[in-house]
Amino acid sequence: MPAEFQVFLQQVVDGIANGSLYAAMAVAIVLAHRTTGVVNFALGEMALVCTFLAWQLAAWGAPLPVAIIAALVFAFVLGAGIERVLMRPLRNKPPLASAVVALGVFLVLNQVCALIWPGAQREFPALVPALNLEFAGVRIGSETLLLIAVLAGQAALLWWFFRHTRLGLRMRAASDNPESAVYIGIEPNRLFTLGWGLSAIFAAMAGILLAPSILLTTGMMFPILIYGLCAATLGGLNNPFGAIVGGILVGVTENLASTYLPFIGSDLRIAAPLILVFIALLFRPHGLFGTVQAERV
Amino acid sequence: MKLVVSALSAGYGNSRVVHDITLMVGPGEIVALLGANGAGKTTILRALSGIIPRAGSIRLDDREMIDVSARDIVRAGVVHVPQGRGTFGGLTVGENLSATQTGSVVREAELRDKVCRLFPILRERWTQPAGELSGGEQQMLAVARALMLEPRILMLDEPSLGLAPLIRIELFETIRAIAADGIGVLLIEQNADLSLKIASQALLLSHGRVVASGRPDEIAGSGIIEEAYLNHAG
Repeated sequence: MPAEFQVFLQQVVDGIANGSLYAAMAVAIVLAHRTTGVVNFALGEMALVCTFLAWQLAAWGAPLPVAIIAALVFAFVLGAGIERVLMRPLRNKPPLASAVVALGVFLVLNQVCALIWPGAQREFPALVPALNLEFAGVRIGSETLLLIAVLAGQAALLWWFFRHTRLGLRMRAASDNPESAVYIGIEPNRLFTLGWGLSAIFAAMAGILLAPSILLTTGMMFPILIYGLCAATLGGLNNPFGAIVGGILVGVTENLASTYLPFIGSDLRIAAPLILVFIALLFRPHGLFGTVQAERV
Repeated sequence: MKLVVSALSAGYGNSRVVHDITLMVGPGEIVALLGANGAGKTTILRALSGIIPRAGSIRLDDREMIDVSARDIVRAGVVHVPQGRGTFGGLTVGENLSATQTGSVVREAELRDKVCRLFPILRERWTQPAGELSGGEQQMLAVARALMLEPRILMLDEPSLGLAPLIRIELFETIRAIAADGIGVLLIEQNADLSLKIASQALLLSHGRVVASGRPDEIAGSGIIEEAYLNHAG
């Protein structure tokens, strides 16, 4: 295999690895949006708090799986609690109100995290033994394989949940037409709270999957949130599958652009996926896999 | 199951829209609520569904329902098909029907077969998003979705609104068949003639109050319908 092609393949694989992370965050964003119609800008920092919590529990001696499960349970409570206390009163207000409150939650959680865990960066324990596998000269790490496996599992789980479970159908129904849902005995508020709790779990999983490959800092989730928002917008805000494809496209575009376009380099690498999103939205305003609800009268 | 409403008042915010409403719907009966736009017909159905605050008495057999939540009213067997159909446009026909269910899978399949016998077109449209159905098909879906909840009392708000005359007649025949199955029907319909044809009782509303009630032939022959509509318009 020519060396240049091997470099290209390596960049694509690394892009898929980064993109899987963005996709994990994008799935959380889509889940919150699909169940409540709100773009939850606070998801990144919700993930941050939960990742620090998992680290703290592990540092205190809890087995890593127990620490992670406890952090995910906390994520659910945090997400559901924020929806119940802060978002529900804004349900019938203009969407900007929810967006501004979500940004406020973002700042508060970030500061709370800095207050509880000040100072030096922290190292998160490895989730799987570090291995570098090589296929045709292209390296792929065991953490990346875990990330892809978790993402595939999440995608399959969400597809099954929303298509084939009554709870998933009722969540979609409540999101589609909350007033009408009441007429068939659905309580939309409960399902919205549940939706936010579940989306917080998915965001926390993104944080925990990212953590072993970097040092924990209070700024670590911000870029993931931005890329995740790009991915969700690119794929379509109402489609978890689109979020995954969007995440991978964003990751690969970012990597290839920074490698092959010298004027982008590492400083402007975030610009490449943003341009991609811009171009895609010009042609498909609801994202690559987003759907517009047709309504015949 | 009998729905007995007495001294019901309800409204929005601080304004009361309907006052001192008394009505009864027994098994298999079709009770028509007539009145001009703004007379309070929809408000009565919304009050009975628990969607808006209300006072008075709503009894379902021996159970007082005035303080019962909207969800528990549905569970008790009182189901409302709102004006404008209220289907879930982004869900397929099949998903719209399945979203109602909390019972066993077997029961769901039985109910699905039953509503598809009543509205065969729904089976053909099964995987199509509800938002893409025609107005008549959406109305059928809305009624079918309500029937999936096994109602004892079915409340229909303007089911024929925007439908072609032939489909309207077909829909009213289906409503008659639903009542023949033992379900009490409370029907709001702008087309008074059509609803009086299938109703067993009728109530005429004006300015939020019942101004006349009785058998359809009594109401239709008395001239009070025209009077109520004209008074309201004036």
